[in-house]
Amino acid sequence: MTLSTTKNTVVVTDSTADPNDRWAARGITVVPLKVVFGTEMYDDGTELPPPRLYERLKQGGELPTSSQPSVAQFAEVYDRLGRDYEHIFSIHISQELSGTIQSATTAAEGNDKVEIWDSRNVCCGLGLLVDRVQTKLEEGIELEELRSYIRHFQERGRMAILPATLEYLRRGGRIGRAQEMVGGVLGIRPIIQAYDGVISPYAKIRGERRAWEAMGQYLADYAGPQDTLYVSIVQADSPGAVEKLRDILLGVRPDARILFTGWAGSVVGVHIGPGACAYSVIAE
Amino acid sequence: MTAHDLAVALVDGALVELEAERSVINDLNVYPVPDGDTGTNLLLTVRAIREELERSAGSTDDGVAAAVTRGSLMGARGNSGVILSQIVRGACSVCRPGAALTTSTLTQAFAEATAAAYRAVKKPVEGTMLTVTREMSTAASRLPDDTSLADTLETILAAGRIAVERTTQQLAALRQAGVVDAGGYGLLVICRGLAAVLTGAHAGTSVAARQRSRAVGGPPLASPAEPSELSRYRYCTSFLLTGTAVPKDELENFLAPIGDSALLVGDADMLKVHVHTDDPGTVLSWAVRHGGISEVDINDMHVQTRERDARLRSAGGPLPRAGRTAVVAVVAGAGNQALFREVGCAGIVDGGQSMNPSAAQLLEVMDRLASDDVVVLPNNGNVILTAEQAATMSTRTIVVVPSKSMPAGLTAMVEFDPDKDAVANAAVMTQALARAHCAEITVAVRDSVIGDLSVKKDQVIGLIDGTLVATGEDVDGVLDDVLARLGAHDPEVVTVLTSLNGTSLTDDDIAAALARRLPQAEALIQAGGQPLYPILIGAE
Repeated sequence: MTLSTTKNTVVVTDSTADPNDRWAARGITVVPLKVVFGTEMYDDGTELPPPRLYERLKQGGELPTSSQPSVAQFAEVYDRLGRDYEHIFSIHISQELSGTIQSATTAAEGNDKVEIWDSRNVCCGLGLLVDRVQTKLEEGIELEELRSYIRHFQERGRMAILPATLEYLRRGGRIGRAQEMVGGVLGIRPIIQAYDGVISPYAKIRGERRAWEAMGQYLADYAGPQDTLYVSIVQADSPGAVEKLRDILLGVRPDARILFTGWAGSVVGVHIGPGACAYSVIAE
Repeated sequence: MTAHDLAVALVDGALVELEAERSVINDLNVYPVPDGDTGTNLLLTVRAIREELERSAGSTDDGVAAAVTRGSLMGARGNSGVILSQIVRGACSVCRPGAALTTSTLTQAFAEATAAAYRAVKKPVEGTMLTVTREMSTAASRLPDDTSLADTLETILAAGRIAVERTTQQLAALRQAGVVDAGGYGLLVICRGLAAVLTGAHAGTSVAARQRSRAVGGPPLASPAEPSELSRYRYCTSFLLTGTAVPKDELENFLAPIGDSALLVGDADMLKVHVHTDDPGTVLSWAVRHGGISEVDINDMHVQTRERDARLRSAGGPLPRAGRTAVVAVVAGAGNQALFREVGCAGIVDGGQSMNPSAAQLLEVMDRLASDDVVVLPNNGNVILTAEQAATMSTRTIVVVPSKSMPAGLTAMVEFDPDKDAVANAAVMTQALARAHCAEITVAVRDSVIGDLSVKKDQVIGLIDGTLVATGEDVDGVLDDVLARLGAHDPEVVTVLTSLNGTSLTDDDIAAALARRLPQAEALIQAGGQPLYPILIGAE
């Protein structure tokens, strides 16, 4: 049985994975969602890098929404990559949070090379899965083993978000049951989690300091002592948040391996709002 | 009219409706993903068809159907857009070059559209666009072949409206949010646009008429976060222009600089004119020089927009859905009442120290709540018994969390989860009370000796958890004492509810005292407006 490697297998994801600079060189293809300001549309990342999104939000005016990639975008990517690769692992934002998978699935119809996978997560959670899958391909892995790893991530992958305000999550309608969750008044900081495909409230914490502690506690509650932990951290126009989270998480688990840190993508930013930060973790 | 012209007109008709309804459809959007973009996605999908048609101008009849199918598929966005593209594809598959649009071709088109839509979805769910398409198709198939096109369309739209209305009951997510399906409604909107073009009624359908039909088709319940943007031009103006050969191009040129959304449909004998403008009089004056006018309809869209915003806001606030459990709290002071509401308290009973509410008053507020269970926060030692009495008088599960002060009640509210039952909520909320300390600063109503402290009437006194700890002549001195003593509990978060009228204290003085005495704590100072107590402090 031949191993799957980056020679014969390629990873496709979407821009809600919070792509980092190294991904392009490693051969990961990112299909952009769109940020929509009224009638103007921008490709997430390439046409609207996150810092520009927050500059624009500060100018006020109508708040943006997001739109999933079109079938054509995916079809073009699959066609192009299909010429050079035997397998295309197309790994995406949870279908409960976006219709992206639907576009990808339609585009992949009749294309045997493409496997569509729902990460059951989003943001740096999706990014963490993509990063791990790419690493496993770089090392060489059997297809079936790769698939079972993705299934493991679908079940066990977690993300914790500390938004500055619930306003953006509410507005985007992606907060689900946390809709009733209180934020803002009384200095209550809500912590939101993403796992099993949905976003749900994890805790309401009074006070900034305790909220950060609770972000660490989330990792402590999740991880078993024997687990190898892989972590990714992102921030949405929240200077210093990545460093602060890194210190807190390494304080809880000095052995955690932080695979990447950076900006949350623009579409993700539209929905979590400026001032948010998040990390994701997978135990292996 | 060529097949290409017809296709362009139909798509434009759908676009006009979709553009008008986009935000409504966005607001409705809770299923399958509550991302509030169904309207945008449908609009972008239909726009893509329009662009593809422009590119294929001059093509054969077959080429037109192909262009529409292609444009819809390649430009499809969102679940709704992808499904729509399949509906479009199915409908286009029955188009035959040169064939007239009859009841039987429409019926066939809807049947193919339904089949294609269902084929597109792996696990069809009822209460969505699929259901609405199928119901419209079924209604069409029951009509005799000689039914007029207008009657057929009316029947199809009526069936669509009923199907859209029913979606609320077909899907749990829609039922919970109290909305109809956004995609289904969007499809109805598109069909309405198509039908309006086919019957030549487009410009005659005023915004008001469309809103009336929406009252049946899809009542949006989501509350708008911000006021809607007002239209660039204020008056939606439409009329019928008849009699002579109407110079359409000339009219278009005339309207361009003074309005937008201009639609001129019909022929040289009878033109339906629709335009958004600030000056309907000028438009009508021009028209009477070129023919007869009738069916004049003018609507103030700015007023309509504001009314709609107000309607949506009153229909749903930030807490639209009744949870399993609701909280009723006894709260004094306008600021405090607003605060309790903001943290999710559904029922407020005015009252507190020296104005204890009766059990009947508590029951009356509870009776107005939709939830099964109720948690009561008495927020005063003297109200706890009354609350417990009220609990025994109701058939609902009512649990009292014995909060003795408003700050304590707020601490408990932080733990409240509307999806859990009253017993589970009461357990965590009561636990929270144990870690909260409450300080009160007030004025003694009589002379007394309490423990080591003797108090004279009108002296300022400070209590922590009901025990007298400080006395003095002014509020700031007692505040300082009280904060120093609270420091022993090493609080992390401090909430100060103020009612500073009649004192010389300001928020800044309080903030300075907090910074001096409790430098480690995160502090919030809120104007509470409670009587008798210039300052209430919660520390946890």
